[in-house]
Amino acid sequence: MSYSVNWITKVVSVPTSDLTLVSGNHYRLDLNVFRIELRRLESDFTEGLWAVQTLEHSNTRFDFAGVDYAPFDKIINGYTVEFSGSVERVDLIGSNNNIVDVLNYTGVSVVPSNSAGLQVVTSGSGVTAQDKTDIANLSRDTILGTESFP
Amino acid sequence: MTIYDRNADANTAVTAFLTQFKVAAAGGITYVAGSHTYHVWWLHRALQKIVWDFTISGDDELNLSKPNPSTSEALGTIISLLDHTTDFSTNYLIDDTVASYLFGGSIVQGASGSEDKYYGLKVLGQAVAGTELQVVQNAVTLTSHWSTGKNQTDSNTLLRILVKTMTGGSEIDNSLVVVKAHEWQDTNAIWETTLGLGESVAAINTSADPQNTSVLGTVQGYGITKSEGYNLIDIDGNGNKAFMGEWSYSPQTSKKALYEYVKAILVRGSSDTLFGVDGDLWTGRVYDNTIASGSGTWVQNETLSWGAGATAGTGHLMAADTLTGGSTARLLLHLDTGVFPEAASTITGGGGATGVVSGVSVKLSTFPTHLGQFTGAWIGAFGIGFASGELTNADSVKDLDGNTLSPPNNVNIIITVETGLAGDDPHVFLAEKDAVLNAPDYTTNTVGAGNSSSDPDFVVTTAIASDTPQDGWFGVLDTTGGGVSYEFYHYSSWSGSTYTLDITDHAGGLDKNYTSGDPVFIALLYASAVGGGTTKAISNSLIYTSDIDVVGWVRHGDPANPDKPVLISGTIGTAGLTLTVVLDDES
Repeated sequence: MSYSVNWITKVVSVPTSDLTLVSGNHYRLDLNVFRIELRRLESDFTEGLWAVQTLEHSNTRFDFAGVDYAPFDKIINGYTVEFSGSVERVDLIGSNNNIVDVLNYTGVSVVPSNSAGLQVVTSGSGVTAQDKTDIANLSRDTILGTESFP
Repeated sequence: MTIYDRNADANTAVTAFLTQFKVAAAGGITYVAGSHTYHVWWLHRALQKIVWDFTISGDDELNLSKPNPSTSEALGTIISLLDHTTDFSTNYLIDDTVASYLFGGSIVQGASGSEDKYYGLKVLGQAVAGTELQVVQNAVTLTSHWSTGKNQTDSNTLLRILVKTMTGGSEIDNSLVVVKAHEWQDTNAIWETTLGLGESVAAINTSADPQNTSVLGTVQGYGITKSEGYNLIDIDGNGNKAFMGEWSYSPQTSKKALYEYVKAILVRGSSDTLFGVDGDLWTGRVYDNTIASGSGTWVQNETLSWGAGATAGTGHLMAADTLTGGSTARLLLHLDTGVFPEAASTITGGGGATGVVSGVSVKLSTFPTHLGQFTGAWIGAFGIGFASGELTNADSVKDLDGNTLSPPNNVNIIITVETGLAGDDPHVFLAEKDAVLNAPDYTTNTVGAGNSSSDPDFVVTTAIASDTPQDGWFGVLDTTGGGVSYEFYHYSSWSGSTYTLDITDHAGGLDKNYTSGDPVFIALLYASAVGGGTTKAISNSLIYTSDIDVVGWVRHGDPANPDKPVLISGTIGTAGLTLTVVLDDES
């Protein structure tokens, strides 16, 4: 593997050579391989043993209603991921993950393929009546000062 | 057996005395039979009685025709037996056997210039039952005729005897004796006293020693190595100080073992030696001498001698700052006999080395057990050295210059890691916690000036904190050179603001030039936990000064079987920090 990590800027770079070619510039990244490589780098005395953890892994699979869910991998502590080289699309397989959320955009299309099902969704904006009052008060104080309107 | 003290009934005491001893016509007083003991007054009174009688009676050969046998002074405590050899061919004399039945005063006999003197010794105090006191005179232990006590005329008296301090006109070691109580499993006591006319007092007190509970034979087989000679030891991290010996309890594992071991050397009846001095003859009279000039080569523990006549003395070499006589500036000795070396006297070693004393020798304050008081922690005797690594801040020692030194509180950081496989190699990192974040503080110092490639040491800007481990790691970020990770170095020591790189791990010195101002921080742990089985450990130590909050992790990233990283945190307190981590497979 020739991943590189800038432990100061917290950028994990995955080279094309460490991706699995699907076709053309279309590649695949097995998140199990990705995790193992990060674990190796995190433990390396000359790499990131001193640095905070990069990734949180849950290997729990829920046998729910006959379905086995993939593990979860979450990039944490401010690390970001980027794919370098000549690649247009990367399919992420092997786990649910948040790589898309921490991706340094370099023109690569990343397909996470996360599990999706019934979700808990808050309807509307989620802003409460009290939030609105607080926002209004803060705006008023900022513009006019607090002493004018006790 | 009856003890006839000064206030005994006169008729009874005199009768018993004359029955027990014979007085010859020529004045010789000898023991016949009996086990009673007598105040010296009854010697005088018995003699006066038979020279008052008109007739000779019993085995005594004196009557009114004989010259006055004795005089008494100081309420009967100073008895002089008179010599009438010239006029009457009578010389009243006792012998050592008779003296062993007397107490309570002194007896002087013989003509001036060739007289014998028996001086009274009274030992007061309280001792553990069964204690057999020792009396050392002129580097000889006097033959005991007192067993576990004699002439104990009151509850605070352990022993009352006569000691011969002059024979044929020659004084024995300046009439000085040392009384010792060195019984196994009891506290020890030593008292030096110069005897004189009448009765002189020594004080001895002992009690059961709670730190001396082992079997003597077991302790004598401990295998501890005696430590004798001059040593420079850094006790408190503030530089070397001078000591005698550098005692270590190794191969045993406790200070108590060492304490008992040295007590065993000095126990009554010991044939072992301390600084070459037989344990029975150890009197703890230690003198510190400044040497102005000298020659030859001293031999550790050799016998020493100096002076002549009233200035003569002998001893054993305990320590010299250098054994090269020409360079010796300080020499410590155990006084065996005589007086300590006076100014300008020449000390001569058994091997021929010499040293001329400058100024007045200083008598050191010593302790009967030699090493000092031990209560589970040391209060070291004056000038006694200990292996610094075996001391804690509960111990206190005093160097040869009288400085009281308290070792720092060396505390341990121990991380134990339970792995899945014996062959796993868990890596451990631990550093001081950031003041705010639950993360290491990566910027505790900065690179100093002059850190160049191949340098064997590394300089930081701010003085290194005293609670930094003497062996550890520092990480430096080559910001100027575009570094993407801290680079770590293992150091083997530090001083001021300089770390000395571990020569084994960094034989070539620094890997590159470092720029002033770049960040640096200390890793308390930055290595593998090791061990033969699945239980592995890593440790370090530091001098505790205040609590240190730490954070770090244990990682095992072997691609073949990586484990979940484990965050570790805690506080290094007065007892250090001990953590146990169990790694779980992450596959």
